[in-house]
Amino acid sequence: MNSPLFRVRDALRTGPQSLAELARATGLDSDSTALALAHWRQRGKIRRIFALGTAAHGGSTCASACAACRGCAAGAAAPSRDESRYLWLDQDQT
Amino acid sequence: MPISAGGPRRVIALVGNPNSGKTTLFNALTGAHQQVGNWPGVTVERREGRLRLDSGRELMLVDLPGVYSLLGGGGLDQDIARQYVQSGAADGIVQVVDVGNLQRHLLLTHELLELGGPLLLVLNMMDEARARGQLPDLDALRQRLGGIVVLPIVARRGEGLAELRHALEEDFPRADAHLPPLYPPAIQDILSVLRAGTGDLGPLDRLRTLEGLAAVPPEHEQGFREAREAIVDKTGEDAADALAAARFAWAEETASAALPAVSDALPRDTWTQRLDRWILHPAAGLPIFLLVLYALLVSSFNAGAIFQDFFEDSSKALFVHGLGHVLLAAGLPDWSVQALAGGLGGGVSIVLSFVPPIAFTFLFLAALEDSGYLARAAFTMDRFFRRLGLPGTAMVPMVIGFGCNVPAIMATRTVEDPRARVITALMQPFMSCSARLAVYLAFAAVFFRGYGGQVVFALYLTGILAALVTAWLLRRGPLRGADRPLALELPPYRWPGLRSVVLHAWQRLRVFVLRVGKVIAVLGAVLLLLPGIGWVDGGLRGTDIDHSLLAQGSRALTVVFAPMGIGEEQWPAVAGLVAGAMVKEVVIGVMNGIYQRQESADLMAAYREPAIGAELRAAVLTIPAHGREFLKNLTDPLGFANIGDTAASAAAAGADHATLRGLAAGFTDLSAFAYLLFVLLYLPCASTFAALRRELGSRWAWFSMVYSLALAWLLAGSVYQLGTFDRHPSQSLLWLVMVLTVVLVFWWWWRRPGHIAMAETHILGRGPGS
Ligand SMILES: Nc1nc2c(ncn2[C@@H]2O[C@H](COP(=O)(O)OP(=O)(O)OP(=O)(O)O)[C@@H](O)[C@H]2O)c(=O)[nH]1
Ligand SMILES: [Mg+2]
Repeated sequence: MNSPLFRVRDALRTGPQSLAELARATGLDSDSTALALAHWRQRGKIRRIFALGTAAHGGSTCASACAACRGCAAGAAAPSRDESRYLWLDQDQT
Repeated sequence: MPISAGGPRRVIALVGNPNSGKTTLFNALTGAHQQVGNWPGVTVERREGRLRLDSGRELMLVDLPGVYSLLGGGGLDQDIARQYVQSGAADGIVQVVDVGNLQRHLLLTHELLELGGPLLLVLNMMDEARARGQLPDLDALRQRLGGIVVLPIVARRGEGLAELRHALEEDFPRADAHLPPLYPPAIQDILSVLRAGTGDLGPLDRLRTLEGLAAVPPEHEQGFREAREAIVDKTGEDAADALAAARFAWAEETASAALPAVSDALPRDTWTQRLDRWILHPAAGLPIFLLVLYALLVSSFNAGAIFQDFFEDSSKALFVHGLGHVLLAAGLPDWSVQALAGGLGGGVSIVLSFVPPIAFTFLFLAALEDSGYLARAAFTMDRFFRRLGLPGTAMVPMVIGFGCNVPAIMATRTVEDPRARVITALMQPFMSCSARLAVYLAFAAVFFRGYGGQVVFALYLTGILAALVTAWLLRRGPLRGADRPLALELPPYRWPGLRSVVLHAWQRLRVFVLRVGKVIAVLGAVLLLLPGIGWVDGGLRGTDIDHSLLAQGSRALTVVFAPMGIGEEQWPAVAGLVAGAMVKEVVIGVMNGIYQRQESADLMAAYREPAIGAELRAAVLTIPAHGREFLKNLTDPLGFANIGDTAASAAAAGADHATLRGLAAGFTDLSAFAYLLFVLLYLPCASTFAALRRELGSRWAWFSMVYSLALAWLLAGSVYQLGTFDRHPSQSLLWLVMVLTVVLVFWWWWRRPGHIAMAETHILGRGPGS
């Protein structure tokens, strides 16, 4: 089925993305993209992560910082601005 | 129940995504004045209104909070809408759709079609669609929706409402047999089998259960299991994903059938985007927000200052001196003239002097609410609030709280996570509401003339900081850990509609003047009438106000306020605080009453020989004088130089602020500021307390009470002690050590684990009214 919901999933599987990037990649308007994200979050398939500003994070955000690093290492473009991205947690089991 | 022309009254509900214009339409059809704003989640309660159609028939129209999906998600506000739609109480549903976001809104249409009741679609915001040159193909849309009525409107300007009223005369035609299937054939078949086996469930309950959003009723365990397995078999996806994906696909297809292909760069979007690049900038966002707030307050102040002296002086000439003269001439006894003219008239005159700055504040606030900036402020705060474990949407109630704390607490219903909601609600009592603004204004007129706007800004900021500290403490203490929601919808910028902004500001101003005016005027009269009874020479006797029980009691209480520099001679200020515990504006009312009484001898002379003509003339002259200054200061829009502080304007004003000055006799600038800080923080007012109790339960309401009292006392005391450190260093040091000890003991107690677990069990599963 070609559904916007699955297009969002496919896009996320290529690496963590921000709302704006997802909307561009899927050709959806940003509100529908946001609703698709809300679905996947409710299904426990994605996590919201925050891009790293240099040394701006204390120990408490370590977990999300690591998630961001993993995202970068996985080949996504380095986050240029401090905005939240969404990470697909698939690995076939959650 | 009243029966009108065509039998019992039909009930029509307005349903739609947040920010689609439901309330605008509701107001236009019923003549109501419910709040409208350009952010999702303005309406958080169900509202009903009557609508008379051209045929003379009457309808009951129901405005609901916005809802994205009937299946689940969102805060309590969305639950309210969902429950209402499902209760079947409405005879027909009008879905309000923002044509600019057709695809997203059609997701809800899909669920409403599944529900199967009479449905009518209105496409709102056609003006914006026209400006973008994107007009939907209405016939194509009607066809894809099985022939239901689809009407284009501009709710804000009343366009298309005649057609809508006409359509409301009849029962809506239902979607007919030509309605294209809502799900792909494979899923549709599975759903039909399931429907046959679970006929006792409503269509939405069936979907919810199938998608794992609701528990499976034991008797249908097998049916649902088989349906889920069949869907995985056919599509390779979980039922929840496959069904949602089908809805998304349907919405996309339907939207593209109705709308010509959208070119990538929309003109409105470039405008919105260009502005957003700054307003949403991660570093500039917060300073911009503070700048906007500062500009709002200082410009309301300065614009208000042009008219403030006019309002004060002329109302005093009329309602105090004039009224007193008339009453004396009518032969009323002196004591009743004092009560009526000094108390009642004096109260009215004080309230009227607040009208200009408050009117401008309301006007600017309403324009801000309608512009789309508020949702963006929430967005930029998101990053910042994240550390407090709060969603950025917690910002919206805080700005509403500047008007009144009660709707702000209601607005926390949009916060999804129950813990975050408790925190957000407990932050609200620290927002400077308009009743507190009245107290600030009275003091600013005396002490801070020339930089009143800045002082008020500082107080607003302190309130925000107190709220943030509270959130931080709650997060470190009993309300740990919460889930942060994801998406935040950003509405497009809209030019605030002049009519709706003015109307909205007027509504609020009227309520403010009536409510506050009543309290202040009546209190003034009562205090002047009360015989002074005091403990004199070992017995209760009649005496003057300075020796009355009220004075004696308040004087005794001034000990508590000594740390913030309030001495015995300021007992009226303390009496004001005690009485003002219930309603903040009472602070001014009580002080006014007492002061008027102390001065009543002077006033009698003014009543006997009033110079009303001269007074009015002088009052009128203050307007051009202040106006010229205002224009001169336009080169300095943020108002570092201010209105009303130069010799020229003070002379023009006749500089008679005696009434107000009397309110604050014995204060220094610093102790006046400490006093205002105390007024800001000390207690939620009675209606705020009631709202907290209703929304969160009485334990949290009482917590808020005790906590804010302690915070007010410690903070106001510390400000005064620090400011006067060099005068009495050892005393100030002692105070600061005491504050530190209290804070440390509190911290230790606050972080006890048992405590945290207790709070945990208490908050979860609470809803409004429970
Ligand atoms: N341009 C334009 N703006 C409109 C129209 N109708 C409403 N608005 C604006 O849209 C915004 C949202 O309107 P509301 O009536 O508060 O929307 P709502 O659906 O009640 O929102 P919630 O209560 O949050 O669910 C406001 O800024 C309105 O001024 C319209 O026809 N054209
Ligand atoms: Mg509304």
